[in-house]
Amino acid sequence: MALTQSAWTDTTVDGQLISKCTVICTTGEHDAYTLKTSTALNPELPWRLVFHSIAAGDGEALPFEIYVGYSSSFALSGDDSTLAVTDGAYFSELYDDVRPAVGAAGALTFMMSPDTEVADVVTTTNNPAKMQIPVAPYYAFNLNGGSALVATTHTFIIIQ
Amino acid sequence: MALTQSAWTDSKVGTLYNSSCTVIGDGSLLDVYTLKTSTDLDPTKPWLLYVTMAATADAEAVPLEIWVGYSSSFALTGDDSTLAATDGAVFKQIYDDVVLAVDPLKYVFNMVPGLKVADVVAVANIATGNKIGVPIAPYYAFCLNGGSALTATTYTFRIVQVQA
Repeated sequence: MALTQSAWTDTTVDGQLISKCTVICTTGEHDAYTLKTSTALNPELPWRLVFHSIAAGDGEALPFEIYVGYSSSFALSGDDSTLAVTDGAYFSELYDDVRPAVGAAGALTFMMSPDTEVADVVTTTNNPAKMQIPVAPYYAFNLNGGSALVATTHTFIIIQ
Repeated sequence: MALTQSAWTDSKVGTLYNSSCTVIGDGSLLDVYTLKTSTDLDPTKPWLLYVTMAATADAEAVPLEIWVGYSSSFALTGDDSTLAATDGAVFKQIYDDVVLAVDPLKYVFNMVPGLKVADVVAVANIATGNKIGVPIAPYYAFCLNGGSALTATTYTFRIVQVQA
């Protein structure tokens, strides 16, 4: 059992970077995480993150996390208690529960800004989600399940 | 008995500035501190600080402090009640406890000059993202301020900044 992680695929639409990846998890994992983001993303400017799944990821609250990396070797590995980071670290929880993000219609959007003047909004009871994030060369995202995740596909889209 | 402090080693690949140093404690000291940071760090822009250690530092909480300096002579010396700074001063405690940051686990701090939101400086709030409004200063140093003698192990500090 293992994650199937696509690389981030970059395209440009009307002058905006669209970077997209998918993570397919099995019922053998508690964590579903992406590969590191593309260097096409400019971390000094705000960007948006769109997230949705084909099916609800878990039977309980499913927190969504952001990691930061400092080298091209940056990667997450392992699962649950063995989850580890190479050349990076956990930065923050982005959202307390992303289970409602089912299908494109249920997609959640996160406003990611390196220079925000307002407090983070990171819970399902408060929208829209927004976060003050560090300026870092690489990011990765993790769904941190409290139990085994549902076998489904999770999609992550960065817009800048 | 003394600290073994490496100088900060800088590298730059593309726009990515990376500076790291290590401090090796000897098991008798309550404070473990770095030398002053490199002048290649741009203090007017945000940067990230990563902290990890090779073994558990203490049996109690280990606060992490940032100090600021104003001349090339800036340095910390002494230990515990004799801890002092030349050409600088303590700015603030940036975290209440880094004792669990044992390699490969690293704690990361978002250091932002002009931060417009509240600092996050407690391990109890780690899920909200550690962040500190830092002063723009020519030099910084970091100190692990133990309540008792810190373990003889290697403490690693890394600064990462995206530079144009």
